[in-house]
Amino acid sequence: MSISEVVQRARAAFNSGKARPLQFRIQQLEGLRRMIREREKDLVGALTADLHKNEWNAYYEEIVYVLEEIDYVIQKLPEWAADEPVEKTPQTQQDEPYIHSEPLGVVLVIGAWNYPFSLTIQPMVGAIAAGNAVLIKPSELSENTASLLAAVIPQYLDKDLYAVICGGIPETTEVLKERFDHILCTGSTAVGKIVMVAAAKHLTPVTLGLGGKNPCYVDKDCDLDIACRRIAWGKFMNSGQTCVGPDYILCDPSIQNQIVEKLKKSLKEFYGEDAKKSRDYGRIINCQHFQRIMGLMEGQKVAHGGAGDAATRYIAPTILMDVDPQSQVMQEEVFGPIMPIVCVRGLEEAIQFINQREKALALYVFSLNDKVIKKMIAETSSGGVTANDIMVHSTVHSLPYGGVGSSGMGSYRGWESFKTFSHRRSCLVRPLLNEESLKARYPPSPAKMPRH
Amino acid sequence: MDPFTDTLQRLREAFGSGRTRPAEFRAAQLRGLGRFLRENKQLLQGALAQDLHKSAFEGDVSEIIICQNEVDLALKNLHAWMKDESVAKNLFTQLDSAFIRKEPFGLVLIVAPWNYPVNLTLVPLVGALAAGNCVVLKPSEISKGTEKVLAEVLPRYLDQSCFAVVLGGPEETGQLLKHKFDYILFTGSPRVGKIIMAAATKHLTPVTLELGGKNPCYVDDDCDPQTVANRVAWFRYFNTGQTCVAPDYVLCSPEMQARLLPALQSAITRFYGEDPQSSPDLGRIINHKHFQRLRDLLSCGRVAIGGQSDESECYIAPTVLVDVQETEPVMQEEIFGPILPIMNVRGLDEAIDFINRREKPLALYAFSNSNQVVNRMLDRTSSGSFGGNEGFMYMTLSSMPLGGVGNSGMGRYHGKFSFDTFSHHRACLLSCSGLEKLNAIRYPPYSEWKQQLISWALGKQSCTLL
Repeated sequence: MSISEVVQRARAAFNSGKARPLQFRIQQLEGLRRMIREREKDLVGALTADLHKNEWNAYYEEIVYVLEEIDYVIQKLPEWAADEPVEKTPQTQQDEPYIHSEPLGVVLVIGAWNYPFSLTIQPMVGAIAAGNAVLIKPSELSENTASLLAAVIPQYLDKDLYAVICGGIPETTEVLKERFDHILCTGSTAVGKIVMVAAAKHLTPVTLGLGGKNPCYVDKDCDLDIACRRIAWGKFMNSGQTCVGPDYILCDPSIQNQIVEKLKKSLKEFYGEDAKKSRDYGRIINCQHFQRIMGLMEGQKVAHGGAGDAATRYIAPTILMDVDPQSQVMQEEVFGPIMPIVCVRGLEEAIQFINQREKALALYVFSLNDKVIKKMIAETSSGGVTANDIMVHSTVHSLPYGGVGSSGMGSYRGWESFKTFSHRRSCLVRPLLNEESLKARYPPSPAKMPRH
Repeated sequence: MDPFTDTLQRLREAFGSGRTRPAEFRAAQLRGLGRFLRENKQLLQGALAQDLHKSAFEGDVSEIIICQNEVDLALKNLHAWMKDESVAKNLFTQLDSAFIRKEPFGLVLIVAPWNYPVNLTLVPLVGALAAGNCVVLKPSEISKGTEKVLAEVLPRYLDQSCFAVVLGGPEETGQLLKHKFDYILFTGSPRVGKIIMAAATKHLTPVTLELGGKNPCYVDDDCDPQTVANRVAWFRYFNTGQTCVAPDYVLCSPEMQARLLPALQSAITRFYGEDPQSSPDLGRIINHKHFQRLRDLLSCGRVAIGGQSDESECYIAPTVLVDVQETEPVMQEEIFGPILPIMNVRGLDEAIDFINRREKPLALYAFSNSNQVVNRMLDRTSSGSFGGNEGFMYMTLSSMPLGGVGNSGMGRYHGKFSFDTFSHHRACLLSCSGLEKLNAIRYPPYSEWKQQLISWALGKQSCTLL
């Protein structure tokens, strides 16, 4: 079947109305949950092959979030899908004004390769719950997960409404020519722009989860042991290939050495002397990215790590010190296991540094001083923030997950997903009576206007 | 030489300085806007009369008062809207503080149309200012009277380091769009909406597009024709039909058509007199280009009511067309004028099919004594908004958003929805620095015993470790 035919089939299935009843949507979500439970081994196998994730990483960094989302959405769906009455005005006391949620139609989800399962399926959960037909286009870079999804999804979900489109740039280009009712894309800024240009042709609304350099400010007044452990955990998870991971550290020169030592200590605890031998340490997705990341180390002061093995696409957890803000490693999103440390003198300079750059997807600040945290948050912007930890804000399903500025637009997760993938239609229903009270509004208007 | 660079630079610097963040500043801007409306009411009414022959009544009810209400609502609720919104936490974040922080985007561009030139410029402005943004307003160059007032008088009431009005036509707007904005709200046609969205892509600027479409108006057999005619006529001919949410065409059975026509004639005569051209309550077409376009549409189908026109005044009589083919121009484009075609369908299902074959409109109307009919129409179709037995009365409720879907637009605003549209909702979590022992379980190495411990502790239930 050509891509066009797959899209037409999904549209016809949507138009048939079969995804309207809540019960149907819940059944599909239960099917998805069953798929995950029954095929967990295969899923883990695919994630291991793509990114060297083991059962633990795969489960606790990806699978569990999707399962949680499914459970939460199933539970809340009746409440979310119900008509929402709104406040009436004096003129509309006899009427029923409310907001009615409806599906948009056919939704396209373009996934990313770094969390290839959760970044494709978690949005899909919301789109299904909102009653849409959903096409997913998993990243071809994480090819094992992509082919697994293509194989198993039709076995557990309605084949017409939900489909997987596999392929690389040519297939993505082709699918983007089709008309969708919403497109959610997780990827780089460049890809985000391509998607938005294509969407503009059909006036398709988009949600773009893009990237950026997520700053991590470490204040002098903080518990460096705890801070560095949390930072090391968030940074080197998935070998640094996490859109909400801390990209670089900003700190005062007086604590730089301590930070380096404590990061090293945590790295040793996590991954042993030689991370290459650790079951828990990931690999770079492909050779192109491997080369790119290795290149970022050139000319830098390597405080720790620095080794790489092209054959296995392994890059050691690496820390760079005294990094020059003009250098290449500070010009692009690292998206790898390199932590540059840039020295700034104090909070003001850190805030200025951050504000001179594009808005990031996430911002991190470590301090024991509430005032520092408040000021950092108040005087910067980013998709989201976690203070004194890493990434946690992106796991709470009552918080929207999304970027701002060049890190993206729109958001999803939980109720945000439901809203993103629904049209919330304003409705006013009035009885076809009571014409007397309305006569005042019709022309001819009085010669003298009443005073307001 | 780009005329906008300096202005935009100035606004961006002002935003960067943090001037628009405090509630007091925003409230002062909103009060300034309120004063502008109060002190220049006659000037604005005069401009609307000049641009659209709008009666003082229409100008008040659909433009000035609506803007005033939005200002008042924003002033009253500003602090509540600005407050951090606490959210539910999960098991592992109970000791943390989780909330959504509303932040201004930065530099907002509002591109407004000519049909409600005060309302569609200033209502979005209220939201953008309340949300703490710096704002560039681009009023329509077609409604020249209003453009002049907005450009020359309005800035005196606002802090000009954070606000600017820019003027120009399509070419200047194209130049303007090359610059970076942090949010764009555009009201206009779908054709231009696509151009705006494509331009916004360059800087990954999020947009709200309030576009148009052909808003169907289904009239069921089970209804009182005169009541329906009163409502439909009023909403159709208000502002001479130049309303994005006006009923664009009627769908009804031939039998209902026969009853509706005299009722429509009766309503039109009651509203505008025997000679509508001399009624002070009927407006005029905005300009000659649109007048020509509409006059050409008069030759579609057959004129059942009205049909007169006068080029010297850009006047077109309240008109009803019958025997119209779906392929004729009047059924192919948004009419945006005082012409109401009636299309025949046999029953609700055929009407629903007819509607669903076309682009999703901005508004959809259904008239019936039967709740079932109204609900079925609502359930089986989609549109920006929906009116059951009524026209766009819902526009007066600030508790309901105005927005399109599909070809009729994306995003929404009015009341609090404006504030939310022009704010970035930032997810914030303030974690406890202590209790690190609890976190130990999430760190590698993920030994066998750790995995077993977790599995045992959590049983069959999935649970995140963060």
